[in-house]
Amino acid sequence: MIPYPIFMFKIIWPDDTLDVRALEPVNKGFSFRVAESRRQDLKRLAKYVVSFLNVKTKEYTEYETSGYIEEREEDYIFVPEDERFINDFQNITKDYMKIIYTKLENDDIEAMEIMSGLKLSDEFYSDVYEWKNSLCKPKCNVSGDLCQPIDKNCVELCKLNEFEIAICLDNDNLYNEYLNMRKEEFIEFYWKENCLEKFEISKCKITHIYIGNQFCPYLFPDNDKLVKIINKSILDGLKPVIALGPQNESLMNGLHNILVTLAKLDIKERIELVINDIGVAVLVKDLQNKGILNKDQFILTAGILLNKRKKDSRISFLANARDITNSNLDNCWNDKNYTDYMIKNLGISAVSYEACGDDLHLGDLSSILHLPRYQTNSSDCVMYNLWEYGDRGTRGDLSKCPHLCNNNYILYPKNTGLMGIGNSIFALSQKEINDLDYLSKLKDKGLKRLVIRL
Amino acid sequence: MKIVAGLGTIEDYEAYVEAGADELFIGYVPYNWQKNYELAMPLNRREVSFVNVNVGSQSEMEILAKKVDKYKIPVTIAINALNYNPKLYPEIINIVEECKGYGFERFIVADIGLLLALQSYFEADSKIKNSRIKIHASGEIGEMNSYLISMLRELGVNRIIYHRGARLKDIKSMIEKNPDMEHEVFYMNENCHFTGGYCNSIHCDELIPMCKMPYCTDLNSKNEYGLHNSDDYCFYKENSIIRHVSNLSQIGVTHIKIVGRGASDDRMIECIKSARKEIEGC
Repeated sequence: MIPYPIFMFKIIWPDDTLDVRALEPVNKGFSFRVAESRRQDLKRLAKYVVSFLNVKTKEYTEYETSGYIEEREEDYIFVPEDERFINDFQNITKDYMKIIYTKLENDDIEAMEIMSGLKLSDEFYSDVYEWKNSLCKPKCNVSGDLCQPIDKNCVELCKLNEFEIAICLDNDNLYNEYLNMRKEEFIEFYWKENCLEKFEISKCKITHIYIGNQFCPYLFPDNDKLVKIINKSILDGLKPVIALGPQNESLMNGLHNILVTLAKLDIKERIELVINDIGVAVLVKDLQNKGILNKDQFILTAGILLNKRKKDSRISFLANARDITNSNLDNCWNDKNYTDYMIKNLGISAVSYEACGDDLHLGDLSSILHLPRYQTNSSDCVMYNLWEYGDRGTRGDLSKCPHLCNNNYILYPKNTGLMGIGNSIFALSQKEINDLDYLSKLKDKGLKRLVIRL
Repeated sequence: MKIVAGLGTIEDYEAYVEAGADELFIGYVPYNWQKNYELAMPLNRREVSFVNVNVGSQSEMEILAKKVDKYKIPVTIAINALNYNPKLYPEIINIVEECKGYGFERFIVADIGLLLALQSYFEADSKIKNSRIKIHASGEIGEMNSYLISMLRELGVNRIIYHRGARLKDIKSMIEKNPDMEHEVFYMNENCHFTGGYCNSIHCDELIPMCKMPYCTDLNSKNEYGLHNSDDYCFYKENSIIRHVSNLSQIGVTHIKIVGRGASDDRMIECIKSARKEIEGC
């Protein structure tokens, strides 16, 4: 059977249209079927419009064609009288069969190479630092020093300092390092750990510190550590931002306690919560309505996992990559109906975006940009499952997870730009971290903060 | 408990019904959407073009509607992409209206923005209100908890589909707090390692899914491992939810979902029959 997307056929009458699906090639045409109620319609005079998919360019060509319909016992045949159609139909069936044979005769990876041109490297990243260092850096000399030292007073840096700049504590190692180091010492350590010490962004003034992991709720610090980190961040002159991963049902009671703990802290300003499931916003609202939390105690920001769009480092290998990218620039956060609902009903006032090399169509809410890495997939949790069961797909009890991801990673072929960190896969965006002019212009579009994490 | 099975082509309708399916679901991608948007912005989560995974013509929908009339096994339409460009919400609403015209009134939705658009549209006209559509909240929405479910219920959702990673005890708790809704779980006949609701990577004919990308790891683990070619895409795992069908019934699960649009019909029929046998054994 010919897949509908590669060949489409439309019958047009003066007062109606009907698109039908080609079942099989028959002579130079094809067979098709219709519901009983349409049998009389097929005897009426009609125009025929066809649409062929160019499997290489992923574009459709549509045109009117000529022919007639013959009735068979169980179905109908379209008999073409147009040479162009006859050629195009033969070609599409040949193209389709080529694809079938490609997939049957090759394994998935070989078929991918043939169809997209993406040949996976035999070399995998040796460790996460090799991946981080694959980010295009400012030019350095043989000794590894910058050819041109960063001018802290340069125009671009000054513009960047108009943004809020945040760093992230999202695993046990970083929580402990932060608590054990002075602020300046930790910031220097943070840039080196993220292999960003040679980038201009490392000279910016840090204003905010994210505490918690947006992808994994099990990496959230315990209450005691959380309070210590928050208190230290305030003493360090940094605004704490609490980052929550998606919360399953079992975690909601614990989250209730965390929120009450946060509410009792002696912090004059409202605490920002970055949430990655809508249920948390509903919980906060519920606790506020019950008087357990004060109405203005928290600011809610939608996290990365609530801002969904196609993001994939392999996209450039697709013929219609530009179409895919352009189609995914807008999502629900660009919809007034949606953002009004989020503001009025759930109190969400800002949205997190990720830099992935595409243009940013920021919505009406305040925007926060995470760079230079972006998430493509998340799980619960492939690393734990692999460790516990030797199989990524067998799901275990994550409350027992020993936080392997503090020191272990899932490594992908070098030319994919992918790295498995914790329960997620990330890719790198080379563009934004190196284009300060581009970043500074986003301020006028509503971007208020840059969150730097590799 | 009822069995809900995915239908890639309408030819399989009767066979799946005879095997024991109580409901079926399809993807419908009409001509204009296919031509103008589908390759860049798929309408549902079956995003390939060279496999028969979606129903794509009016004539097929008309024929399917006749089958539903005859066999009384309803069909739900999946409009469950994680996100759409909101400028296309009106076009999607037109597709929903078209499906209603054929007699299909159940839809699976994952984009909450679309859900809100549907709610606004159907609330706005009281004539339409009386033939309210039924919305199933897709497992692709993201993490489920009872707070999200309470919001979805207010938005008119009738059924919750739990994602594959949802644990039994969590599902039980959510059902207890929402007993008047329908609750659907995956049968786990196919098992993506990653959470569907957070899968932003591309699914297409040319590229292998991200879950099949080869990887290695420096993890020192309980088990031997090495370079994987990602052939651990698992079926019928020992500790999968399939082994807990009797527990599902006890906790109030109303539907079991067997995915496989585009899969071999023999395998689907085998899965449906197995599920039917397990349910009848409870």
